[in-house]
Amino acid sequence: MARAPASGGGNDRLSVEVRDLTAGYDDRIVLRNINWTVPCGTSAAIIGPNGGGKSTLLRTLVGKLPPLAGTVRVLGRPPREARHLLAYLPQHEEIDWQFPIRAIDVVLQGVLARTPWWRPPGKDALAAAMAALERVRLTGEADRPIGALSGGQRQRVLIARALLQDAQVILLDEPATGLDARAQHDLLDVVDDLKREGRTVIATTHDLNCLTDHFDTVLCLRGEVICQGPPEVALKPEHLLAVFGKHVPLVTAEGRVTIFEHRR
Amino acid sequence: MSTVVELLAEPFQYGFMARAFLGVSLIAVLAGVVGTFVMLKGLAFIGDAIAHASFGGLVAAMLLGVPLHLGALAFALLTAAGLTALGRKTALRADTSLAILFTGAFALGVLGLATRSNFAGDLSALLVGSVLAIRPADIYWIAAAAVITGVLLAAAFRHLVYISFDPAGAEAAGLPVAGLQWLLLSLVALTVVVSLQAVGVVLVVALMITPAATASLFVRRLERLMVTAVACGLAATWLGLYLSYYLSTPPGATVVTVATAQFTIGLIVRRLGRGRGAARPPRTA
Repeated sequence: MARAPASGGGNDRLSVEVRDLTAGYDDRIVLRNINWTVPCGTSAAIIGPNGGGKSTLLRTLVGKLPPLAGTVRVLGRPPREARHLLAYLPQHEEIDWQFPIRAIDVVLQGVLARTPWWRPPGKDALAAAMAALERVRLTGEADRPIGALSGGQRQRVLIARALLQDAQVILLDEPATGLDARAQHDLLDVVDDLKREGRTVIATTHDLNCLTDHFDTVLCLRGEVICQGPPEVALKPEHLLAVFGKHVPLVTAEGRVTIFEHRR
Repeated sequence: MSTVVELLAEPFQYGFMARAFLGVSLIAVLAGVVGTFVMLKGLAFIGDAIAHASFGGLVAAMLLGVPLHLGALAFALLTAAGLTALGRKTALRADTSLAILFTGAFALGVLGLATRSNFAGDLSALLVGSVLAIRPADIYWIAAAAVITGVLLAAAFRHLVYISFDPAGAEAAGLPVAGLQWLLLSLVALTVVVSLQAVGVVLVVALMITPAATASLFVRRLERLMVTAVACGLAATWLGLYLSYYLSTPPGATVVTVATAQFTIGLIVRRLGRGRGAARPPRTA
C-alpha cells in the first residue's frame, strides 16, 4: 500500500505526532502538555473517563479544533492538509442510521473525499466498494439498508468506507459501545488487517474492554497524560486508579460492564 | 364514458385553470424532491420558518415596488444563511432562536401590509395563496426554480446524502459541510418562494412534507422515495384541483387536504398490512 508522501518536514514514519499540546474551548482548557506519537501501521487506544479529553484530542486530529499551544501533525502535515488521508468514525449516536440508504451506498461515500464532485462513481468505484465490503466480511450485506445491520456490522461498513477513501489513519470514537465481546473480536480482526496494510487505527473508549487489551499502545488521559505504553504497562492497576478514580469500569468476557470500586 | 372525459377536460377551457394545473404540478415535482430531504433531515420546522420569514420579504418588496419574488427570495436566503450560522454556534437552543427569527420577520410583514388599503385581501392572498391567479410569469419562475434545483441537487446529491447521514465523518473527510447545509436550506428557500403565490405561506410546507411522508410509509430507498413523493404530490395536486373546481373550494387548501388524506389512508393501509403479517424488512437488528 503506497504511503502518502510527507510534506512540511514532519516525520512520515509517524501517523500521529502531538507535541506539547494544550487544547480546549473558549472558557476552559481540557488538555495540557500532551506528548504522544503513534507509528504508522500500529493501533493505539485512548482511554479515560468522560470529560477526560478523549474527544477533544480526536477533534484536534481531524483539524476541527486548532491547538491553543503546541503542534499536531498527521502523517507529517497539519491535520487540515491530511484530511483526505484520514477517516473519522463518529460515536454511534451521531449518525442517522435510519437514513434510507444501503450499505454499499455508505461505502461509496468513500470516493467523495478524493474525487471531484461532478464525477459520478463509475464501475471501478463500485467494484472497489464491493471489494472493501469483502475485506470487512460483509459481502452479503451490500444491498441491505444500513439501519437493518447490527452495531458491529454498521461499524465495519464505515471501515469499508474508510478503505475506499484509502485512509491511512482511521479514528474510531467509542467503537466498543454497544458491541458484545464477539462483535468486538470481529472488529479486532479487521483492525489487524488494517495494520498489516500499513494503516494506523486509533480508538477511544471510556471503559476497559477487549479492544484495549489488543491494541499496540494505550494512552491514558485525564486532562493530561497519566501514562502511555503497551497495554501491559499502561493498564496496571495503579494507573487505572489514577485515570478513573476509585471507579474502574471493566467489561467482562460476556460483554457485561462491571464497575470495580476500589476501597482504600 | 365521454362524460368523464368532458368532466376531466372542462377546467382546461379556462386559461387560469390550465395555468393552475401546470403551475401546481411543477411545484409538486420541485417540492417532492426537496421535501424528501427536508423530511429525512427533520427540517420541517425550518422550512416553516423560511416560509414565514419570506413573508416579511414579500411585503417589503411590495412596499418598495420591487418584484415580489426577489424580496421573498432575499429574506428566505438570509434566513437560510442565518440558520446555517446558528447551527454552528448552538448557544441558544436552535428552535428557540428560529422561532424568534421567523415570527419577528412575519410580524414585520404584517405591520408593513397594514399600511396598505386592501389589508385583509392582501393578507389572505399571501397566507393561503391564490392558485387561480397564477400568471404565465409565475410559471416561468417555478420552472426556472425547478431546473436550478434539479441541476444543483443532481450535482451535489451524494454529498448531501453524506452530510445528512454522517455530518461529523463527512467534515473530517474534508467535505464542505457548512456550505452543503447552506445549499440545502437555499433550495428549500427557493422552493418556498416560488410556491408562495400558489399555496401561500401557511400551506407551502405541507406540499414539501406530506407527500414525502406518505412515500416513506411504503418505500425505503432514497431515490425511490423521491420518485414516490413526486407521484403522491402530483396525484394530490390533480385530485385537489378537480375537487376544488367542481366543489368551489379554495384550491390550495383542497390540494393540501387531499395530500393529508393520502397520508392518513397510507398510514391505515400500512397498519392493516402489518396486522396481516405483510413482509416488511426489519428496521433494526
